[in-house]
Amino acid sequence: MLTKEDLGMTRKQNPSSNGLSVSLEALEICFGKFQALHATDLNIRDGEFFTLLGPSGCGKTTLLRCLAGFIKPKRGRILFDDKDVSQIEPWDRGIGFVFQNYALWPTKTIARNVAYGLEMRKEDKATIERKVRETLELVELEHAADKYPGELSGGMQQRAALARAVIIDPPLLLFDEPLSNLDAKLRVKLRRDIRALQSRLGLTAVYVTHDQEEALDISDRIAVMHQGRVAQIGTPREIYETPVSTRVADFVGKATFLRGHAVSADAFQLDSGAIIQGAMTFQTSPANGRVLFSRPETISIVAPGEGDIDGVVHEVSYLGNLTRYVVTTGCGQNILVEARCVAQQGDRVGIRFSEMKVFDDLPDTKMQEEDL
Amino acid sequence: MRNSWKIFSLFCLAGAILLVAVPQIWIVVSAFRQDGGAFTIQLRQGEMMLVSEDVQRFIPRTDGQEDITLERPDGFAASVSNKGDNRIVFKTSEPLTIDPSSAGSRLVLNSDNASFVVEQTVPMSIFGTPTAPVFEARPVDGAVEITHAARSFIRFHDRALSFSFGNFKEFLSRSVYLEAIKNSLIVTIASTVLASIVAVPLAWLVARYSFYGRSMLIALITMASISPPFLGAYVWRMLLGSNGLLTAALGLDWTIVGLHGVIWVIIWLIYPLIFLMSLDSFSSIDPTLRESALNLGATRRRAFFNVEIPTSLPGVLTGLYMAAMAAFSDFGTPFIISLDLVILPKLVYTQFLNETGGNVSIASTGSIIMLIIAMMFLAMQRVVLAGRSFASVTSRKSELDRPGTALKWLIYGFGAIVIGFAFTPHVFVAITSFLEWRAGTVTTVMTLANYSTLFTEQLNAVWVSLSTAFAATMLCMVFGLSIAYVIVRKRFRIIGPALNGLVMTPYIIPGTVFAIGFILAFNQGPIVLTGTWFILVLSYFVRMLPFSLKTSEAALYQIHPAVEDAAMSLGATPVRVFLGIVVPMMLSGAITGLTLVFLHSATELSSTILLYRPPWTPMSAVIFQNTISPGANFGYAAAMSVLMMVILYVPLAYITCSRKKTLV
Amino acid sequence: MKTLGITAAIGALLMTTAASASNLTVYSAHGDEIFGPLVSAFEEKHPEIDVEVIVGDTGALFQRVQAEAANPAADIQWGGAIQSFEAFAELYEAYDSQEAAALRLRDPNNKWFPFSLFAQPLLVNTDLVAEGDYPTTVKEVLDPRWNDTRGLVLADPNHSGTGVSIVSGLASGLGWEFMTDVIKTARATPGSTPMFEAVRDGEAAIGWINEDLGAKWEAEGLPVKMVYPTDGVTVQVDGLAIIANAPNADNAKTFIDFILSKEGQTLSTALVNRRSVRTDVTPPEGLPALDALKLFPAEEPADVIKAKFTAILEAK
Repeated sequence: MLTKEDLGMTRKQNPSSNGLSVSLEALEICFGKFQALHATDLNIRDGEFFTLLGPSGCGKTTLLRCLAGFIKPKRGRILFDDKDVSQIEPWDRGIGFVFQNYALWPTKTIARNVAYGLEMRKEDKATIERKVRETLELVELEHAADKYPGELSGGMQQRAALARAVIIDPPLLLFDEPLSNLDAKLRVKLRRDIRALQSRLGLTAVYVTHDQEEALDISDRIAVMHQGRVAQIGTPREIYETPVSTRVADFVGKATFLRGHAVSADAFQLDSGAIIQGAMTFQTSPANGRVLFSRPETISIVAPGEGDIDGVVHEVSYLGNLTRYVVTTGCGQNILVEARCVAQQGDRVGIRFSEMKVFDDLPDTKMQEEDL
Repeated sequence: MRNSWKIFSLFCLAGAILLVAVPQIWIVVSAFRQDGGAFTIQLRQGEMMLVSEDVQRFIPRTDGQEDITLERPDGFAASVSNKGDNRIVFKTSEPLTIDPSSAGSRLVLNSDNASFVVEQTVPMSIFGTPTAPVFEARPVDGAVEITHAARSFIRFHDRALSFSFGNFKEFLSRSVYLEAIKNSLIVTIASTVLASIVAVPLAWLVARYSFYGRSMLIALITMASISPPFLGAYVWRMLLGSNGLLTAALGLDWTIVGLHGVIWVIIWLIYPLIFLMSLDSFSSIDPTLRESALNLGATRRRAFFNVEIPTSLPGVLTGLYMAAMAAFSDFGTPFIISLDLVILPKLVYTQFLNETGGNVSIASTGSIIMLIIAMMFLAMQRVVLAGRSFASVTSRKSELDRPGTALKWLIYGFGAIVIGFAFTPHVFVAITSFLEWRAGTVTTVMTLANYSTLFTEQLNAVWVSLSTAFAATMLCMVFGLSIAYVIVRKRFRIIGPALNGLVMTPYIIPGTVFAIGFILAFNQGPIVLTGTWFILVLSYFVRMLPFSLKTSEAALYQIHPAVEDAAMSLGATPVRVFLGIVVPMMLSGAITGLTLVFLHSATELSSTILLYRPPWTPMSAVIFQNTISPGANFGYAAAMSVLMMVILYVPLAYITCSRKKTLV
Repeated sequence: MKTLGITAAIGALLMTTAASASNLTVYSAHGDEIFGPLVSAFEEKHPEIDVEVIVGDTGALFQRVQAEAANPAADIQWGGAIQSFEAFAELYEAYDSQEAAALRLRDPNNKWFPFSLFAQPLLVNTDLVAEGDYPTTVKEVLDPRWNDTRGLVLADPNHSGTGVSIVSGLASGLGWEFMTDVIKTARATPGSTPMFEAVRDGEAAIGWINEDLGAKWEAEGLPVKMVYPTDGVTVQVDGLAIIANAPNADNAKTFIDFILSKEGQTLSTALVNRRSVRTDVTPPEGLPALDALKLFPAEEPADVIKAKFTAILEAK
């Protein structure tokens, strides 16, 4: 693949980055009476790969479409590099958009699809032809230039859509769940390609997905959204390891939540009466601690009586690199464990927690299930 | 920039008001207006009596007196007393004055709330020397004394109009009108259901399988939808009537004349609509949807019912709706095929266009009721389609399956039957165009005279038909595509539904009624168009726009809005997005509608016969001229029909061939 | 778009060049076989007048003339019962033709003119009815024998001037009691042509017919037979009129004079097989003399006939 410099594309002043920064200031979006996005402040850095993650209906796509200008905010401002673009029409924003369903035009060939943005910019024919060829090479579709979208596979179509979006040299590239129509393997490959292309071109990307694995894999930072609000912003590690709420914790990655109450800074009594002791991080004041949270990979299975609590192995799924267990405690609570050990269904085992967090309440809705 | 669509919609709305609402407003007005009623008295040999059957809105009071006294529910009363010597005195509860416009056998008598037209009819003698019958009026103390002929009927008609729902009450309470509504619904529903049983499975088979002669089949079915007006009904009656050629040949005691015949003929008129629209939507189903359903373990049948039917439903339903409307508003078929079947379009037609003085109020009320029923059909279609998601954008073109031998022959057999029935009228007409017709019946004498007259006299008609139909089609394309876009995508709150309603209205107004509105609107005042080429074009345009609009809408429903966003994000303004991206994508679907627009415009008759004026005589009018009277030269009409079919098949074949690319 | 422009331009061009040279426009409810020869003869006699004929359904033509009343496009309306012309009298221009003196009947107000006169005998379908079963009287239409053979048809007076003539005439001659039974027995067709054709095509065994058409069909060997009932035959007069404010009123008057003239009537009698409205033109061959028939002209006006007919039909 060629680099941006090879293509001879000229960028703005800052040579290290071709992107721009995006700021939302108290941005609100409404559809009639329905508030799709509550007042939101957000800063996306120049050159950053920023992901909006959340279940469907959380407002992430709405926010993305607002960045593109397809939707006008009700209140608040959107700044691109300190320039207020809130009321600028989408065709004047000069940014790229990649759609979930590719949105290629079936009446045009791939080359004509890709050339469209340049035609709108009234570039001369020779330039268009050259850039189209170069961009198609960039996405490894040079052989498909004269084909119609209907003749290509889904993955190829999405690469064509990507080429169409980047050919206009956009400082900001928006992705709306671009990989959700593709099969699992292709998804992984293509998301890496997208990430690589973004870093090579040095542009800012905002990426919408409901797939937390995808988000954790490619993002510089993630904003987890829920019901029209941003629940947490952070690097993938922050989001995964230090979720600010059970909601985020529940949506990103797998987890076990146990009801009870904190009895001290290092002890938590379950509803069943059992007390778990150890180092815990409190995401709420100890007095309000009602939920104990732990990731499956931080939990280990030990001999009965040797752990913090005992239970019976209820479900076993072998995943190759590790095995996932569902252990049911005496009072009927399920604990999810991922570990490399040998336990059979029905075995009585001990459970040991190593990393625990205490929250004030359970997620009101099971976000993950709702979406799957 | 976003408002440019709003401005365009307002422009279209203004146009629709000018071309639909203004010309047709008279229907609405007369539906809600009722005159004051009428009654007739008969005078013979000095005796006076009330004709009890012809008393409208008045209630006769029988109080045993010599005088005839009548009252109206609003309290108005009228009485007639016989003074002898061929004199009567007419008196009402309000003082009457004689209007100076009274003349001859027609008096106009006014009071505060009534305006009576009093007319005398004297039985005419065929052999007598005519003398003008006596009919004079003079005022007597607020009443009027009328001197009349010795033997006469005198009709008192209060023409003062008032707004009321009276016409609707009358329409919905009298058995003959209720019967008409019932029959119309039976015909519409039965023929649409039966036609869809024929058309939808066939469309699905054609969309799914490749077989030799596939595009030929599509072309033939499209061609079958062109049929010179009334032709189908005429021919079916000639073949399957009591004395029909087939009935006689088979020795059957059977006739197609009746309700069953109406349904039968209409099926073959409307099934191409359903077939073509269904074919379009079956063909544009994203095959991945079906494949993924199959991959997920669904059986073929479940994939069909769970995936294909729901995704193609908008197109199929649009076809069904268009077909139902065509069946609902068809008046020619019941007129020819049923002797005494009362059915709404026939009722409306005969009440409007009536040599014995029709009942415009009832006809208008009937039109409004048809309009309401049509709106209910539209609402049903909307409700079913509501919330239906858009089909996916970039579909891989369907790979056509190769049918197995049994299936292949099933398709051939099915297709052959359908084509056979649909083309029976055409073939029959083609044959009879080479035969001599005498006194309205065909003989077995071969002749080319029909054609030689045609080519020496009426070729101008070809040009008129083609140019008007072409211009109308172009207008329908421009406005059909753009109005569909406004309605589906922009969803302006009031303008959208108003525009939709107005544009669809002409589809269910009987053509003749529509034409009268056009004459009323454009024969005087600022825009005078009657008798011109333009009025034919405008009439075809307005009447056919619903075809174009509905097919464009169906096409648009299959285009995901993201394709527009994609273009916009690449710097295209909404206008460029529409022209450069949306229109080309819609065209492949809308072309079906435009083909129909062209064909229907070129064969349109019902409004043409009232609007055309030489030299702008289209082919359909020539055909009509030669079928109308019982002694007409039908052979000449048959020859013109053949010429018409041949001329229309050329562009059609072209379109069908160019469609192959998108369909196959 | 370009093609659209070109089409429009060509259309406009043709419209100016082809702007019609005609100076007499006739709306005709008659087909070409009737108006054609008469119009040719007229044009031969008056080469300065170029006639344009627009054919239409009788009812549609009345409504067209009415709709165009503010700016009439035609000069003459031709075809339709005189009762119908009478009902629409305000649409027409009075003209005192010098030919009127020789007419059997005329409009006292000179709004309409008679064109031809014809009796309306019964028509039976000979495929359905055996020769011995032909009726001889109108009263026989109520005979149950028609029930086995697709029955009786009658043009609904609500839609047909012919229907008005028949019902009104028969009611005046044979009484409403008889007519009530007829209406209850018959199928009502929405016009006269459907009634004629129903018998011709064997959809009904028996109905009424205009004698000129019946004679033509018999001559062609169609399976029909006209019967002049001994107890009464109705008669109808077909008319024409000058449209009020006609653009070519003078030519229209010339046309009326021609149609009413001895020459015009002789020609139409021969062509149309209808009896002339002039006293000095002999009736066409093959039709029985009117004196020999018991004639019942229409008596009650159309409104009364329609009201009574509907009342009977609804009580059916």
